[in-house]
Amino acid sequence: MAEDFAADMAARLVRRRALARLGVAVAAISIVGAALQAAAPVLRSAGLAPAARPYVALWFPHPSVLPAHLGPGGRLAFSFEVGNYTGSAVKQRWVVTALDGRGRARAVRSGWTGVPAGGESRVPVSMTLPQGVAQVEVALPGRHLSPIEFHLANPPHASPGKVAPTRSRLLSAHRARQGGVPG
Amino acid sequence: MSFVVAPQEPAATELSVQRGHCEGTGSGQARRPVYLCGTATLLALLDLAAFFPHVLPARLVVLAIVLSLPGALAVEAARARFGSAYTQGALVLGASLAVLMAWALAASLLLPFLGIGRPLDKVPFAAGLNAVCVGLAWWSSRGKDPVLGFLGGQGRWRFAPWQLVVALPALAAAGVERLNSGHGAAVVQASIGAAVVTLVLGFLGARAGRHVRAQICLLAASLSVLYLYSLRGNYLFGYDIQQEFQRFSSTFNAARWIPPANGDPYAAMLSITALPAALSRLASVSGLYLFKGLYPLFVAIVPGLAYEFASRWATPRAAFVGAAYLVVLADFSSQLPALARQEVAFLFFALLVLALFSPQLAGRRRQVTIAGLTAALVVSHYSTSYVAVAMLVCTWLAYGWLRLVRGGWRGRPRAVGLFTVVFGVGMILAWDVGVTHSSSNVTKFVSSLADEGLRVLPYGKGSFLQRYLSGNVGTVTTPQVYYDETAQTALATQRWLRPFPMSVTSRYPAHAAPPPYALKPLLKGSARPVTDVAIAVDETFLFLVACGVAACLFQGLYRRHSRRVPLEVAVMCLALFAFLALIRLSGTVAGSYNADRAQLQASIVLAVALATSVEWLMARLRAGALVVAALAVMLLAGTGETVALTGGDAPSVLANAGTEYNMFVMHGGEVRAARWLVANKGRHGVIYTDEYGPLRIWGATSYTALPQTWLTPGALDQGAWVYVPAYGVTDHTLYGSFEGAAVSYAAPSVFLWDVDNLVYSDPSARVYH
Repeated sequence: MAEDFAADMAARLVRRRALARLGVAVAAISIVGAALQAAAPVLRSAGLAPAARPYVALWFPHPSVLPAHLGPGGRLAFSFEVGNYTGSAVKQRWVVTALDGRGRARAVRSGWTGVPAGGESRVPVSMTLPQGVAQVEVALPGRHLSPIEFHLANPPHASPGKVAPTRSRLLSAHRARQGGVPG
Repeated sequence: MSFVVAPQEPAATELSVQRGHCEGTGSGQARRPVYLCGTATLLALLDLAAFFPHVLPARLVVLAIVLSLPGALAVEAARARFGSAYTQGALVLGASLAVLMAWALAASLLLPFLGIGRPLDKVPFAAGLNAVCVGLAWWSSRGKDPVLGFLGGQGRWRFAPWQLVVALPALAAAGVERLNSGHGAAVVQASIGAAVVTLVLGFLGARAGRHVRAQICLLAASLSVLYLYSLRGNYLFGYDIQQEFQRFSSTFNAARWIPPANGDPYAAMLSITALPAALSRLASVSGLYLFKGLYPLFVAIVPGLAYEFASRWATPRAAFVGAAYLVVLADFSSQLPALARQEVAFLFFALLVLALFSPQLAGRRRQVTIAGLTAALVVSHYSTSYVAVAMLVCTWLAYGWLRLVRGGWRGRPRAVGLFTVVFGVGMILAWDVGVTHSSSNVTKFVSSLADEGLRVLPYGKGSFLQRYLSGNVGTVTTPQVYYDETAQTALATQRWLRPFPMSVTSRYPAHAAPPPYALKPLLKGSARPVTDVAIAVDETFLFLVACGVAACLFQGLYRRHSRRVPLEVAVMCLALFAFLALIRLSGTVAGSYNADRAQLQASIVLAVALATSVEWLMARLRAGALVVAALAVMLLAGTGETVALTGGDAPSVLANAGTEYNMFVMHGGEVRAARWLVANKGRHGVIYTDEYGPLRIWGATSYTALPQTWLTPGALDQGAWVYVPAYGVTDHTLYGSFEGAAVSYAAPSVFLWDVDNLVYSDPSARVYH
């Protein structure tokens, strides 16, 4: 009888200790979680928690159907999009440049577009260009990214029988002004 | 068939008592409901916390309960005892994973017939898990509470300074995050130094007979070096893990695991599909965090289990060295974080090895435990289970033959019995052939064997010695040769290809890549000596393992003292060592399984062999300090820390540049560019990128095919979509390989600029079309 009582008491004691440990474990996990959640901004600013690097992206929304020729009267219409992943809204300047077969560049359109944080903004462009334009490119001045671009059909003034210079050579002067050849 | 405690087992049992064993708490005769308060409390807490997905503490509580409660109940239901608190804890974790996978599998296959189309969603999965837990608790309760019984062990916790080692993984994580956010690598280097100190503390603890301390130190050191890689970058780090994450994503989105109809082995593994999908939905934790933060924990437990295994027959200090060898292997920290499936499978493999030779298990509960662990291993990773079952078969055959020859076949029962072998083979056939049709690895190996015969020498050219020394390691080629070979082969083999005319491509010759970012040497001229020392230490340990295998066999055959390694264990070591030698030498075998990963798996068992030879070394030559120093050298070399001294191509854990960083650290811009590309390329668009570009595409999208990776002018299609990753944009470098020969070459940016439109651009990626 006394042995049973002692065994029962011992079992209760162990169970109580186990329950206490369970409680402590759950409380510890909760406290660590709460502390991490509360301190997340501080940790992020101290570089101790993952943080996304801010950047801006640029693309053509319909890359498979970009114009390959100038339309009647030199008409050209296309659109591009700017994506803003900087974490805050930006007002972004853009420039459209036309390059002819000799590598001469001319800014033909420019403007500003507002892009919300995490969002995208589509910019339609419609303009008239002179014949001889070999390439159209869109740049975001002040941003560390290469301009996007598309070719137009060979300019008519390329002399037959003469090897046309490669576009990289044509564009080298323009690139030099913009800060280097495309990498 | 029962496994009787071996003559040396009193020592092992004594050891288990010292380590604080974990029996139940009950007096044995009380009513069941009284003893289920722990289970009921935790289930109620789980259900409550699961409905607060935006509160981090609630998510952590759910994760902790899910990873412990089902296992505690299953272990109690199977009456499985491993002896020490560390191994019992590992068994509970492993059993939890097994129960979760089993329920996820059953739910995915059965619940759709009941009209529940998304069985891994939070509510149906949690409801089923509650039922499973209640069932297990009811089955297991025999007068003791399975949860409180585990927690209510003897002894009180007291703080001691060595316990600060548990903060080491947090230090490593902080260091890596600082590096990720553009700061220096000082904290990372400090954490590597702290890992070395932790191993020394563990060795001293083992020498003093403090087994829990030794195991915790192994755990802390392992997890910290694993975190150095797994937490690198804001996305997943490594090659295979990108495809694993892709299969996880598709299972997560469908909220159901579906057996792959195309035999896709990745989709067939529950460890990277159903398990993380269920965990992620239940605990509301991103799969990215599970793969980066939780999965390394599974494999970090393994060295402590290897210590437990080795210390049954070796002295604790030697067993510690045998287990720590696993931690300091370079591939442990750098490869395993990129192999989520193997992180889970290694845990089951280590538990299976422990269960096979556990003196605490006998009779039916032993068979149930072994069957459960084998089944969990098979559904977790096919290659690990192939090696494990091959090991079991070889051990069973070789040990049976030895018993027959020695005339003792009626003696002591075997640890690896016919049931174990048959169940292992049957499980592989049932799962890999019957259910998932994912045995392509084996069929590839068999067809290679049939077509070319067994190549017993490594692939490559040169004399036998040269081929042996270089092993099955790839060669290096030059950019121009790479350009020429890829162009010729693409023209010959890709009939759909519309190449650019040679008159165009010939204007763009290949150029060498700019040299990778290199760390300046702290000690000039130290590169060669340090590399030589690291190689010598590495080879010496391999030699010691070989000596240990021979010594174990000798002991098993001829010695009769109490701590000798049993002959069956020695035979198992021999089987694994022979497999390692074969995979190191044979081109045919190496083509089917990675030799480095085979070594990691084998090292779990071979810890016994290494411990045997190291013990001899330490006892005869008093070389304990030398052995620990050698481990430290291996750890420093394996994590690339020695490069800080010698200078050279920066390892990814020391700088935000360098070859490894380029290959495996992904940027947000790359991920977004990959998503944009896959969304815009159309059904028939062909993607071209370099050797490591596919990682970005697989990791970011549901695109499962292998893109064309010969990004050279002569091999490019005129309608191609070309994806250029960050290192091609900023470092002007691309990587390629052709028939095993690797190359880094200057990105053909001018060619792409001339012939294609640049249709997507951000600071770290470009898409041409």
